[in-house]
Amino acid sequence: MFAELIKKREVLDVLVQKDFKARYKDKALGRFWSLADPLVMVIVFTIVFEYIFKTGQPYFPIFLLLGLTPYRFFTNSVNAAAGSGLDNAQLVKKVAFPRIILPFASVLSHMRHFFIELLLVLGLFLYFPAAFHLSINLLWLPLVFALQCLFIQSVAMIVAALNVRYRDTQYMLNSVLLILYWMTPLFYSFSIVPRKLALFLQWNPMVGVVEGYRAILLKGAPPSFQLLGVAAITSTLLLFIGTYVFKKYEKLFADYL
Amino acid sequence: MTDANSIADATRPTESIDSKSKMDCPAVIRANGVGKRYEMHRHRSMLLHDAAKMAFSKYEKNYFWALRNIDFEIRKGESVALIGPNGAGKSTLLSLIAKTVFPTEGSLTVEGRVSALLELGAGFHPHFTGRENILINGIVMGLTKAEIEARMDEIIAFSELEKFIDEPIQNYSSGMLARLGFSVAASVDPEILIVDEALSVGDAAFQEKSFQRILDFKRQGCTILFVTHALGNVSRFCDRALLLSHGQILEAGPAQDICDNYEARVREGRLDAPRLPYETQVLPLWKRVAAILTILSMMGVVIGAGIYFVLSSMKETAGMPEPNAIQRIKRLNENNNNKNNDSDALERAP
Repeated sequence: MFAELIKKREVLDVLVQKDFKARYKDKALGRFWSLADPLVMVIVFTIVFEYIFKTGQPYFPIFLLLGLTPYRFFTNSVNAAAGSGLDNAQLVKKVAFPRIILPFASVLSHMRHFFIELLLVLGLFLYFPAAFHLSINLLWLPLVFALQCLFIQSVAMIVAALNVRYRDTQYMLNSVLLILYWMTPLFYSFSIVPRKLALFLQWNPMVGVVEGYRAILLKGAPPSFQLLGVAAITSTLLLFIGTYVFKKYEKLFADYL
Repeated sequence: MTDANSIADATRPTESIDSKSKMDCPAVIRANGVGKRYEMHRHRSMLLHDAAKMAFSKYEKNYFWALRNIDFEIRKGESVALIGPNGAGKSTLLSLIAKTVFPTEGSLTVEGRVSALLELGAGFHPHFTGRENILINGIVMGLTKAEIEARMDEIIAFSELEKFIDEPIQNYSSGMLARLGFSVAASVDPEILIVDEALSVGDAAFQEKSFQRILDFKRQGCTILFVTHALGNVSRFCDRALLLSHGQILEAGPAQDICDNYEARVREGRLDAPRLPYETQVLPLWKRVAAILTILSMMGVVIGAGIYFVLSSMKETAGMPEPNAIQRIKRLNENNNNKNNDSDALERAP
């Protein structure tokens, strides 16, 4: 299944390009819109959490963005993957191409947005150089990023295949994403979560990822290996489920669209 | 089974003079007892609904066979027409050969690059220009980027859309879209070409041009599968024809004969192949129980945990008085005083 993907990477490439370009066609402000959402969120959440709740988190906007940006990469890709079958129904019905390209294209397209949104983080770090910690631990970043991609891709495969067969996947996904939105330490640090709850919540791989980015960039510390380990276990498990589910429904895509 | 044998005999391309020369050619499409079954819509809805049905009633799935027991061989360089009434399974058969849909039973082998003229404009995006869409469409249909760029001028010339090629295609007329789609599809050097009725768009001149292009392919030794209701075209292109009805091959043989037979059958109302029965399947008990347990346990964990945390948080705050306005102001004042003191202290420090 994955060998096909490499053989047909030009198709994958063209689908990613199409998705990415289509988003900015005929928009006066073009790529700026990629930054608009996170910008508005940072402003609103900073007002709520710093001026009303007074969480007292140092460099809250950066702290928030280091959680929000990876999390948005996750939700956006997974949502796009769930809709990828329906959005490309014409293509799926009429052209024989490896279906696995669809979730991969969704994730890759949003990975580009993720990198664009990181410019915002970069901007804030330039404004508050004191928040940034340069250390050898920066070398852990690729590992955290790889783990994040593994998790996102696995979930994307599951929902892409399931949503073709059962359209309720999209609705179920919305609820699950809402739960995860608040159960991922975006607005708070995972260290303040009570132990009992933390044991339960740590199974969400995004916890390890978000906390990892923060530890590395804001504290210059290595990421928490316990959280990353748990995240790796969950992600690998999801990858197996995703491969199984996708294999099962792959050949039925055209039947159910 | 005598019926099946006679069909198999007729399928061998001995009848037409044209196809005799192709007898030695290897078969590029080989169908052995191919069947395609679709799930009836009634039962393919909701997950929870399914679970409830499984739990509380005798759960069954209904299937419909769109094609069954299809046996045929098509040799390299042959051109074969698929004819038959609506719902006979012609399009399903084409989709199977194009490999967008997969057979439920039997085996179907297809050798060589398939280009289907039923996918005119697949993956076209309205906001992109004609040129950009040629690239996207061509890559999706199996060309490489370099190949398309080499053929770009040729494709544009064939479509006769030079003037508008850099306009977004949302401004194209449907005829222009069809031209663009055909031009790309025709530029893919196919070994097997599938032509659906979709071809009949475009004006008379363009249709003629398209037919000529298809005849060119035929001369180059391309295998052609042709679906149409315009029987006049069949004899123009095809050596052989398969007549389908109700998901089965009714007759096979030289194109002209089959067309005549088909017309005669339509006139006399003799189109009835034995209708394929619907099929009902009852799920085994353990599958039902497993499905329900999975769904219930998943929901149970999430909802249970939610309830636990909500209740325990209420227990913790149960005895505490609700902070009233005066208390709040007092607290604020205290905070402010502390802050003032702190800042005073800081000022005094140096």
